[in-house]
Amino acid sequence: MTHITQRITKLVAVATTVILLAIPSAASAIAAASTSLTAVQQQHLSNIIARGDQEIIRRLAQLNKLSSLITASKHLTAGDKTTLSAEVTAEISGLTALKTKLDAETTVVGASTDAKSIVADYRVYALVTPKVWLIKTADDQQTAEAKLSALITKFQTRITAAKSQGKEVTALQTALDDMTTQVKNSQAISSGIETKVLPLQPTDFNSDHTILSGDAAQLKTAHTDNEAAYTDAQTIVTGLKSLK
Amino acid sequence: MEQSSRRQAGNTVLSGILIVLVIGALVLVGIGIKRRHNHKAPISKASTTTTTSQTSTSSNSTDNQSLTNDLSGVNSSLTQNGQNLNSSNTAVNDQQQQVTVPTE
Repeated sequence: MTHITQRITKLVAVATTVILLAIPSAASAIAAASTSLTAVQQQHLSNIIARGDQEIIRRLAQLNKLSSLITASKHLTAGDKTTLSAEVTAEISGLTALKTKLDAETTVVGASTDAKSIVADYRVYALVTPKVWLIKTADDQQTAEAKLSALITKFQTRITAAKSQGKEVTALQTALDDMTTQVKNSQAISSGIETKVLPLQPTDFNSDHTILSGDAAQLKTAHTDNEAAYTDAQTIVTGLKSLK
Repeated sequence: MEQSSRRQAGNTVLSGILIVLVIGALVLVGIGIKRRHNHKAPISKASTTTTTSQTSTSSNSTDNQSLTNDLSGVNSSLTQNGQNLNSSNTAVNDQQQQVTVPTE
């Protein structure tokens, strides 16, 4: 019995020794694992900040190009120019401030939120860039439409005068009627696009990604209408010159 | 006495003749002026008609030139718009391609 007790005591001692030796090693292993996880997070944070900065810089360059385009545009109306310039300036200020905020982030969650904001709150490529181009094109076309409308008035005066003198003007009047229809159609498209697109904001795009679909194609149609009106105008001028 | 009376009668006759001559001269001058005026009027009218006709022709010619200039202005605008439309589409397409890159 005494022999058995002695053996049990020895086993307990050995086990205790083993356990005592193992605990520091385990603690050290746990500590090492914890340190490794923090480094990964740190790397992740750095990556988000670097990538975010890159995306912000790319967008700032694009916004500055848009700003130059707006300033140089000859046919943008004063109101549209003011609205678009204010929007672009606000985006530049916002993104610049966001870069400062992002650079100062110390958590992955905070940096991720900032990175998402670069896209969702500004929509530089998805909304602002096409918006500026669409408004500019619509205003350019409205300038051409105003010139065509002025010509229509002059043509009608000349044709009416020629008719009162007994001259044959049926073909000229037909061409003028078609010209009038073409210009009315193009005016409806150009002014419609301007009215629809100018107030759009990033939140509108976030709600509906198809919000600008078809607008560029419509402006192309308006341009085609204006070209048809121009062809009518050429016919009319030639006809008026040949009236004796 | 008789001689004086004759002289006076002669003077009266001469005065009458002078008055008649002066009146006649005045009448003739008046007629002349009137004729001259009447004669000038048709010339003036004809001249006006000619000017109107010339103005009308000139006006049409000016209008035609003006219309040609207007037409040229419209053509420039449309050419520019066509180029802008292409630039606009290119810009939007470029942006759409960039949108497919990671974040947006």
